[in-house]
Amino acid sequence: MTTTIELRNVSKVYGSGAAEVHALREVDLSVAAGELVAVMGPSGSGKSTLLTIAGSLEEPTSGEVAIDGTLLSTMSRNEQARLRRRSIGFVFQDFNLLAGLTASENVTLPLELDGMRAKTARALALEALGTLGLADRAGTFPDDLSGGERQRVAIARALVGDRHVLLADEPTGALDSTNGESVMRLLRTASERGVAGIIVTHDAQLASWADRVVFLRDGRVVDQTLHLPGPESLLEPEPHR
Amino acid sequence: MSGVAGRKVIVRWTWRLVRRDWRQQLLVLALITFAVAACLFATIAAVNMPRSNTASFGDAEHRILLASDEPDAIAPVVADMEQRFGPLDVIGHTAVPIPGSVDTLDFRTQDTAGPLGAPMLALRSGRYPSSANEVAVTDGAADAFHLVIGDHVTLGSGSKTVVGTVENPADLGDEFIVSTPTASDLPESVTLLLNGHDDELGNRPGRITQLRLDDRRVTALSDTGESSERGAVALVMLSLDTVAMLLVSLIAAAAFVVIAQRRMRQLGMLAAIGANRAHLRLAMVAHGLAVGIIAAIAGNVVAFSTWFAFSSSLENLANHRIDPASDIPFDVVILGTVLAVVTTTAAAWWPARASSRVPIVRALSGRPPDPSRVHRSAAAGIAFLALGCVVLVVGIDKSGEASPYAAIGGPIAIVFGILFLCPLAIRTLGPFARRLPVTSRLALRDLTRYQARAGGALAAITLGLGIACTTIIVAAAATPPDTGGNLASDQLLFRLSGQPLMPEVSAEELARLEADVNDFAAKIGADVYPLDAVFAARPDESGETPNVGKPVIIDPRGETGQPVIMVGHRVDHGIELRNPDVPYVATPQLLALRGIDPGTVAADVDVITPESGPLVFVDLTARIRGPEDATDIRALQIDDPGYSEVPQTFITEEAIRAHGWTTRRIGWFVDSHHALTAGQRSDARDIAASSGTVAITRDQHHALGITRSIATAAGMLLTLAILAMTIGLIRSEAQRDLQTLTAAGATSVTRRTITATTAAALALLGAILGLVGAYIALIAGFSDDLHPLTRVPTTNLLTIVLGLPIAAGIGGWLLAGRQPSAITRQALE
Repeated sequence: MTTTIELRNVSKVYGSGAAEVHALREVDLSVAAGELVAVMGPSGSGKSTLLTIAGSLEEPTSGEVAIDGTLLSTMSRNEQARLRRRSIGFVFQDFNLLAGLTASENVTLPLELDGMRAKTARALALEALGTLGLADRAGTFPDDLSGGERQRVAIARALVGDRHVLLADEPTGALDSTNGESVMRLLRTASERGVAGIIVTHDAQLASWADRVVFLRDGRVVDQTLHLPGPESLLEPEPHR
Repeated sequence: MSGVAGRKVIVRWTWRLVRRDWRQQLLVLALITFAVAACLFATIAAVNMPRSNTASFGDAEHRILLASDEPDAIAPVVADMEQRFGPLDVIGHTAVPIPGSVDTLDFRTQDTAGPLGAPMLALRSGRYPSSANEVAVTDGAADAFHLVIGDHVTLGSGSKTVVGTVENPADLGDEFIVSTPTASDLPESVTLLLNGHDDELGNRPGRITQLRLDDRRVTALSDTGESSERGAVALVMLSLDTVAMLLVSLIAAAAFVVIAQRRMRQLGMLAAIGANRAHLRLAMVAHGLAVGIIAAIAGNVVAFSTWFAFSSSLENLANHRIDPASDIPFDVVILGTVLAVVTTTAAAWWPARASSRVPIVRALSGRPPDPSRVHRSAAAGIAFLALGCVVLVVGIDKSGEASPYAAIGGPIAIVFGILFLCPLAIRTLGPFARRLPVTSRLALRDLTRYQARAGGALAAITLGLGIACTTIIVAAAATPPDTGGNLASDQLLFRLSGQPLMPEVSAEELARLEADVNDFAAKIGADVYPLDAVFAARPDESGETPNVGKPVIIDPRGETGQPVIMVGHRVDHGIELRNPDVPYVATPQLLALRGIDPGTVAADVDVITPESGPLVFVDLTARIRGPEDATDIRALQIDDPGYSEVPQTFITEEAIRAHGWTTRRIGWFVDSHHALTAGQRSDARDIAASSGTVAITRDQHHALGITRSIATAAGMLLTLAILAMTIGLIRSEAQRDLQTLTAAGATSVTRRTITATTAAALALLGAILGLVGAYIALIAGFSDDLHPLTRVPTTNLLTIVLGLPIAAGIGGWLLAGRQPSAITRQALE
């Protein structure tokens, strides 16, 4: 399998002097196409930072990040924005749909930002929404959608077009268990279609949907497991790798 | 092409948000709409104020005034002129006395359908006269002669029937009676309207040229229609509109910062899915453009509605008819509208740029960016201030006239200087915070931490208060001091009305007037000084002396810029002096009033005057036409009395005898030695009204006082509005601190104190900066004579500097206090 997302020796430091905080310390992580990786860890362990650095929303203090083999550090700000439009999809806990746009317009947004004609983008958006069972809600504004529907729209937006990198930060955090499981199933399906995904979650049961689980503590990767013996085992990390 | 599609979706999204969140933008929309409407209405009205050349030229380029004391001498000259210049319109003038009055009215004869003079006439009712036995009258003439259509009036050769009422639509103050030309009624003078060309006529607008005629029995003065003042007025108004819209754009910028802050998470989301900085900037700039367009359209609607509703009311002020549909200067309106849209869009640029630079993760979290020191330097601010001052000093001449570049460039440079200095000024609050209670300390330190944002609000407040302070100070400077103005508070002037042409008053009437004045003076214990004017001699036996009863006047600024004593200057046919004054007979009594010992005046002195420089004497009625014919006058220079209506220039009795002039009583100067009460002033006016004189007392300048009060109130209201729009944003940046305080047990009193301190500090700082900025600009503008600025309007300025911060603090206290929302997950919008 080809490596889609690769973090090499990535560190991130916030602040300076006495206020210095090491959010990530020399993290290495590779995600192949079609692989779904769950990132778990206590609060402040650096999970969200890892996700934002992988998605080019933040720059690492040191280390390298490569998407499809291209180093982000070699890309300009506009090239990184183009990468996010074409290759990377984000799903957030708070859905983060734009209230002024309908469900389908939210989905077409990255495509239209990338210059695709509105009609073409809308056809792709409707197809994506249809796949997620929201074809009849395409013209609805986010305020009129339920929490589960909003997150499915957010997933549709993250996957629409040729995107093959999915980064989800607590995608089920604001959902009940039924909707949460439904969302994870969708992410799993996307992964099986060849999308490389990283999911940050606190929920060990949901993490079990992933191919691999990475456990972070104090900014370090303290555990990786390929085959999950059970969610409970993740809560007893080894003291050293 | 990819960029176009991306921009389209951003603009679509922005437009949806503008429509969706219109209530949040109501304040800024209302503000810009009001500003646009006020600017456009004021501009349209101001451009329509100047009188057009049509009032006295009709459709002609030139006019020639022919006057003679021998009416039959004019007709041959008219015929010569027609041969020389081609077809022309002839308007005859004869001054006819108004029954029971000392005034006269212009009786005109003209072809009412004349190709050039027709625009000077408009029929109000009835019809135009069709024969020499018919006349039409203006409203004022009808009132003066108590005429209605169908009445008969005796004018010139006989009785004439009133067949209509007319007006000069370009000059509503032009009162006359008009009839058709006739050979039997020879006019005293005529106006020729023509479009011909002649080297002698010249093309210099506004210049009065004495035409050389072989027949010297007729005086011929030519002048050319001045280019319209509308262009100059439009330029001035556009300058004022620019300054006003700059102020409004600063306030709008503060409002857009609030909107950008509200949209921070959405912008972060856009960035997360691939929007670049240009897209993010576009989102806010498009918002500004949308708000600008909406406000400009609404402002136009309001301005035009107001114009169509009230333009007829402005006709009396403008003194000419206004056609509300065709008198709109659309070029200026379009420029003003574009200016409004551009400034509003520009106002969104800075918030757009700032929000596009917020790190994506921070934007997604909705947290404001870390406070950072602004890059604007004090040096840049001081440089702009200095540039503005230099432009004003250089661009304003000694007469106070400013070049357009100075009028626009100077204030704009000063505004930029203030913008650069505002964040620096906010930093100065830091040291004061140390000694204050913790809540006030926190408020001031937050202001200094987020100085970039607070700087925008402070700049808007400073500019608003700067304009208010400038208006107040200028109004105070224009208010005469206790030792200046027209008259001192203990002085009073009774004068026969009609200056400089003095009406004939019978000896009995004059004696009665003098008795009334003396009675009044005796009642209030005042001294009375009779005022006698000097007139040219009566005609001699042969009737050759043409200057019958013409006054001797002094023009402090004659054609050549030097004072001129003139005899017989006609003022009743359109040629007026700019600032004529009447010299009085130098009686011992009047000289004593001015502190001059008559014994010290040399026998050969002709004139005693405060005017400096060589004085010349021109007797216009003796057909002395040019400066080369002027005679030098021996003058004794005295101090200026400091009051414009106190007798200033005197002609000695020796000079009067030498020239054969006569004198006539025209008024009385009353010196009461104590300030006149309102009741005494009212009594004086009653006496004047009953006796046909005017009573002049010290100008009270209520209008300037009202201007100061309005400027004070407007500046304060504007500041409070800006604070209302921006204080929420400024405090929201310290929202987490507020939540922490609440969690630590802080009550609403703490929150109220913080908000009140923030509002009061910004108001105080803005007031101080605005006041300092106003004085800097005015010192630069008044650099030739700083004396007027010594009259400091203390009450108004103290109200702003002290009262405004107190009002802002109280307002902040009353409006704050709501418990902050809990630290929980927040929806994107």
